Amino acid sequence: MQRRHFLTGTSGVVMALPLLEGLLPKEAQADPSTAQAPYAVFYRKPTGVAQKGRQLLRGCPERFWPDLPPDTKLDASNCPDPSQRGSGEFTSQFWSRATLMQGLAHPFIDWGHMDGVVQMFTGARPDPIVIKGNPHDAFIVRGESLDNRIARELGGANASLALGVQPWCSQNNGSRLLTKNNEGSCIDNESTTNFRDRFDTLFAGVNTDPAAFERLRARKQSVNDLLRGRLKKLSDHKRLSKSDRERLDLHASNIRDLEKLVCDPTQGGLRGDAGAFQDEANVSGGNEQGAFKMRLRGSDIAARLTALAVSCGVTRAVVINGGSHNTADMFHYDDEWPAEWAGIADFHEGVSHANLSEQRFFTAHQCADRSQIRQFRNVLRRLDEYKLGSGTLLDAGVCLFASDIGQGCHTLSDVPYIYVGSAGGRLKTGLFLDLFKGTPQESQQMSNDRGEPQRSDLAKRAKYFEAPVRLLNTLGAAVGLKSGRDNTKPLDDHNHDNNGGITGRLSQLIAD
Amino acid sequence: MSVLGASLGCAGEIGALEGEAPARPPTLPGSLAIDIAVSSHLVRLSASQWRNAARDALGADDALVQGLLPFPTSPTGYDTENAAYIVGAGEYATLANSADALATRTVANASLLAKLTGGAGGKAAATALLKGVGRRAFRGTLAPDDIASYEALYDRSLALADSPAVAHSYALIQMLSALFQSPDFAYRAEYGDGDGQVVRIKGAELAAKLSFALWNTGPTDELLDLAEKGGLDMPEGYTAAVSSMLKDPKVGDVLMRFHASMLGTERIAALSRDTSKFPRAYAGYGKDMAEELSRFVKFVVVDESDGGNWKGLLTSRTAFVNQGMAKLYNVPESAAPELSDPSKWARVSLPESERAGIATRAGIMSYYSNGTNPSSVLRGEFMVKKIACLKVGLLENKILPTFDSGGEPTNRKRVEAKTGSCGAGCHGNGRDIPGVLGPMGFAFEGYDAAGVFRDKDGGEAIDASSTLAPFGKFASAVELMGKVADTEASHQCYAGQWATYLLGRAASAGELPVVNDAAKKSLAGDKVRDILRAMVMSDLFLTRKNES
Repeated sequence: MQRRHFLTGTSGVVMALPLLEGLLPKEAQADPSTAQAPYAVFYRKPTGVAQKGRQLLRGCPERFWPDLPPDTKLDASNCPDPSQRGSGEFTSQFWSRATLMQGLAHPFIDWGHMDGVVQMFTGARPDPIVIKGNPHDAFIVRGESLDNRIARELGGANASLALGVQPWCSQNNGSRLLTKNNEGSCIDNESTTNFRDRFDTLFAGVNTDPAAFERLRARKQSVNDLLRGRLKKLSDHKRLSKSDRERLDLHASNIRDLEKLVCDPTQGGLRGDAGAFQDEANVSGGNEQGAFKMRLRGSDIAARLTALAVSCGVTRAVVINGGSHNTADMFHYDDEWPAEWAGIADFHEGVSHANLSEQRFFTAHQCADRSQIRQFRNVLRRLDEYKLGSGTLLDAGVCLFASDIGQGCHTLSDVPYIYVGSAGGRLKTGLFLDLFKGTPQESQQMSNDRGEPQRSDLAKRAKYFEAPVRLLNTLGAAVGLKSGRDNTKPLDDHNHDNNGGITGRLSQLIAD
Repeated sequence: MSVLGASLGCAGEIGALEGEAPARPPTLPGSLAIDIAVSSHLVRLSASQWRNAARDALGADDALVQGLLPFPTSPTGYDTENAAYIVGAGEYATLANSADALATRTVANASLLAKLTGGAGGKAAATALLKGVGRRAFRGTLAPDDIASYEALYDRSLALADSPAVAHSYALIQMLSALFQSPDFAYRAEYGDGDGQVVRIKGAELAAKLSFALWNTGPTDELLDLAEKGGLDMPEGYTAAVSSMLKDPKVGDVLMRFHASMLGTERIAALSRDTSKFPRAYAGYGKDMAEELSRFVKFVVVDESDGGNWKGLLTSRTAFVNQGMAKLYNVPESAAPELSDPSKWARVSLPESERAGIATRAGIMSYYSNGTNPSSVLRGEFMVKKIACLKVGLLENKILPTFDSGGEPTNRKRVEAKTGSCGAGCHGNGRDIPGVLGPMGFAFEGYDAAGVFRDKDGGEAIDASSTLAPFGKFASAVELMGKVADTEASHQCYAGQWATYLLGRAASAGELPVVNDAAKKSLAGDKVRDILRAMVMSDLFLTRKNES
């Protein structure tokens, strides 16, 4: 496990040198491959997006994707007004660092949500179990999810760091992102909002006493001051070229940045904020007024915890559950939001299982999309606050924003997939792609006019699975996973034993 | 006897070794026979150079630096390639942690510390460390203000210790850690002599450059003494130093490291295959294939056997095998008495019709396969990039199509069916070399994905024949390797890779005369050490060009 940003080394030397000696080599051998080991964050949006799509739903207007032709290069100038197209909520800060993908599908949706989540993360169809009275949320997961695999193979953990943003989200509504590990055992990866508990687990054994950290910091500072002096002396050499002087300046700035970045779990009072949220969430009742603001607050604490955990190297994979598809939280917009949205419920059933010809439902759907992107944006923003030698922590990893379904009413095609961050330059960003491989008619056959799944013709559906599986392979390879068939090659076969042998990556996403 | 003392005499009296011509007099700027490219003044050490130089500065053994990884290692290129090297945020963190660990280990080793400090205590110990270890670490005698700055750190650290009982040890650790994460240690400076654009490298700078080039570590006290007296700036002295250093066993580290990078030995060690499909690919065969390849390289290059040269590497059938590798190579147990003992390795000769040199070894063949079938494209790319250096459009971060399925019975036919339409546009150079990867790769159809020799594929006889300029017609990999070994372009490829390793960058067009000259001599039979000698004796190594 990589913990290279912890204050260690001479800073930690106290009484027992031999004891320290046993610890130091492990620290020194931490993954040296990059300034920041690439990582992945998976954000689950539960309710699809307000889009026209290909399923010819009657009267569905396009309210999400930008009004741009596929393959358009994204830059700040073509980031849409979010009041017109919800994807504009990524804002110009993240727009060109994102890749937007249309046309993907979870072809084996039985009901629409939990089985969609499983496919999103495992790349394999779950086996549904029909249980009397609860036919839709019970299934057998087939294979390991990509987040757990990254955490296990690259991070030395049993499972990814799973976080939620919404208190009172019942287990059956998606807070448990159930998957299997590589040995076939179920992993109960509960996406909790008990942030203080997560914090304490992540940083168990680390001295979080602020005074101790201050002492360690002073020791490190003492060495760094000398190093800065040495760098300046080298840099002042009259014959040093401009480019070499710039290299030394970068070296010096990296020392300075690392002093800011050094993994200090005490910074910013995160544990206190996490605890306050946890206490409040656990004593409050269920769905109620104020829940929406609580969720926004939760998403920011989850974002801070994500950024700290990734920067400290205590995990290489985070999964964040953006909420329940059955929530009935009421929005309470402040001045940033359109006044006419006040009182609209971010209630999945309210934005989808309704008369789709009524404009207000699409408005509500777009409203839910924007709020979810704002939650996701908290993660992006917090990661972007960590400045590295070149770029930020956000650029060093990849953050995937994806949904169980395509549209609020369970459409099976056009599932939105968006990632932000290039995994340290390994992935292309600033792309708007259409990866649909079938015909509109075929797509339409997957579900009826209301988006409810048609349970026939599984063979036809299978072809839709290739692109999402290859996307998982692409993301996994970008953060360092290797092929299961040949461990000297990048990942190209995640869970292929369970999805009909799909292999390969999406070459259009791989940076040259 | 010291390495240099035998040949250099004493009291600054420097003479050439008997029978060896001294280097020609230093060339004046502006009269070089080659057009030197601009290069960086600061060369960041590779991870292995950092470890070795720290180990030697402290006069310790490998155990002291074991496991320390201050910088990333290159996954594909040579670790010495430094064009893009900086100490980035991650490198700074791993560098600091490695230096911390090294300093802690040093101070915890009472006998080593006593040796380094001469038994002195208190601040005198710190000063002794700076004068001895510091000089070797910084590759030159430290100026008084340099010593003062580190002594000041020692003093400050005394006050930051948790208790008086550990203050001295703690302060020494802080000081040593700062020494080994200092830019003076992490970078090798190369300014050259004078203010001109093209200048000669001299003195301690030359000692450091030469030492890292030939020994992969910092200069010894003895070499620094010689340099500081101007001995390396005299042709005879430099020639003698190069000769002595090339004879020292420490050159073996560079020879082995270069070939390990070139052949991807570390990656080969991680290979495994499904034993139900490839029964000879036993558990641990990846590690054994890497070991076999390393022993072979040592035999030819370090021990200078089977020619001791590039041709030997390309054509020799000598191999070192254990029981598992013997079976893989179709070598009977009776070939060597050691093969009756599963723990031993034996020197054998591989079947003449099956193997010739490094490119046909199991590790290389297995690595350039996809786990089920050979990868003709990747094998061809290896040949084109590493062995022959043909200028063609290559695969860079591209996804290979899969050739495992299809109606054709053999791997070659499946590949041809999917790439046949490529014509000159498929990895050719767009002019006169069409489809190079196919012919180069198909020559190795006689080896399956585990690297085992085969005469049939899909029930059909293996077809490894092709025609390709500049090698002409060939029927098998063995025949191709013989032709490659006799082609000057291949020797240019090899010498060019040595230039890349030694310079930390590819030789520019204006510098190629040095590479081509070494290649001609290599084709004529020069040993690998002779290529190194030619490189470090050339203006390519002895001069530098500054930015205008």
